[in-house]
Amino acid sequence: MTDFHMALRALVRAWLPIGMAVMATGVGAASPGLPVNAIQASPLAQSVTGPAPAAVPAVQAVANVQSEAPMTSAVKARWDHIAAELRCLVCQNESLASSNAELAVDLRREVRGLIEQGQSDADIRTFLVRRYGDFVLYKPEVKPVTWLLWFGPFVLLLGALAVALRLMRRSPAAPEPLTDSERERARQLLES
Amino acid sequence: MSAPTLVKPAGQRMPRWVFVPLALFLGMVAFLAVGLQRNPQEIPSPLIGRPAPAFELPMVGGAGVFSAEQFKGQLTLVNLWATWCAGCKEEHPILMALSRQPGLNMVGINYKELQASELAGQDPQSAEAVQKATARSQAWLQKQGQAFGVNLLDMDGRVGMDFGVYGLPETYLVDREGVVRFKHAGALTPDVVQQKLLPLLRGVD
Repeated sequence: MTDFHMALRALVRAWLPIGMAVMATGVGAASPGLPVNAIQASPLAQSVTGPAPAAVPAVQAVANVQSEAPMTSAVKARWDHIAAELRCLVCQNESLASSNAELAVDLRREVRGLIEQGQSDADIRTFLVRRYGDFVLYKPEVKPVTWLLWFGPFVLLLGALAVALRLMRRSPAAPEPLTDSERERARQLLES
Repeated sequence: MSAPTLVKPAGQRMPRWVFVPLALFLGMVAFLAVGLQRNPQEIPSPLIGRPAPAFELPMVGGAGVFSAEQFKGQLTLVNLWATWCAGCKEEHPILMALSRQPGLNMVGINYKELQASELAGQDPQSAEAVQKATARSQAWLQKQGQAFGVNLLDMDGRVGMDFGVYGLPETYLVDREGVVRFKHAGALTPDVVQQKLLPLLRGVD
C-alpha cells in the first residue's frame, strides 16, 4: 500500500468521528426543543449579551406600568433565553438583548409584555417574524427553504468522506507489461 | 533464472468524478456572486401580499380617527415619517409629486414624533405629548408641503411595529382590498418611483 493510501486512510479515520460529532451538534442546534439551547440562560451568556431591560434607565414612557417594575426571575429566565436569539434590525449585528437602538428598546418592551402574558417562545417568534421576516431570528427556522443552509455542510462532509473511502478501497489497476526494448533497458540498468 | 519481471505503473485516465468538487465550488462561487450584490440592509417585508395590519389611529388635529378598514376601496400610499427624520425631508418633494397622481390616496403616519429621549418618562399618549406632537407635525407639513390627505399620529410606535418598521422613512402601497403590495425602506428616490412604484400603480389599476 502506498504512502498516499496510508495517509488518506489515517485522515479518514480521524475525520469520521469528528464528522459524526459535528453532525450531532448540528442536529442539536437545529432542534429548538433541546435543553442544550437553554445554554443562553447561563451567567456567562448573560455577561455577553448585556443587562436586561430592567437595568435600562427608565427614560422610556410606558403606557403599561407593569413594565417598569423589575422582572420576576421566571420572566427573566425566559427573557434571557429568547432575547439573545433575536436580532436588532437597526444595528443588525447586535442582538435584541444588547442593542441600544430605540426600536430595540420598544421591541424589548413588547417581548417582555408577551412573556408576561404567558405567550410561548414560539408565539413570540411568530409575532416578530410576521412583522419583520425571518431575518429577525438569529437561528433561522428549519424549513424546506433553509434545509440547504442547515444540512448542506454535513451532506458535503459525508459526500467527501464517501469519495475518500471509495478512493482508498479501489485496488490499483494492473500495470501493463513492459515492451521488449523496455525490458532490455531495465536489464542493462540492473546488471550494470 | 529468468529476468525479474519489471512493470511500470499504468497511466491512469482521470476519472470523471474528480470534477465534482470543482463543480460544487463553482456552484458556491455563483451563490456568493449573487449574494454579494445584494444590500444586506434591505430586509424583505413579510407583509407583501398580506393584508395591512389592523389599526386605528387619531388624525392629527383631532379631526377624527382612521382605521385600516378604510384602506378598502381605494389605492393608498402609506408613508411613515417624522419631523426628526432627515430622509423624510429629502423625499417629501417626491411625495408631493405623488400626491398629484389621480386616484392615489396619501396617508401619512407620523411615527413616534416625540422620541424616548424627549418624552423623558412621560406617557406618549398624554394630552400634553399629543399636543406637542400635533403642533410639530402640522408646522412641518405647512412648511414642506401638504402631501398627505390623511395624517395620523402613532405616538408610541405600536402601529409602526405592526408594519414592521425598522427605520424612517418607509413607504407602503396598499391596494383596494387592503393588501400590501409594495414596501420601500428608506427615502424614496426618482429611480424607485419610476422603476418600481409607477409600474405597480398602473398594474393595479
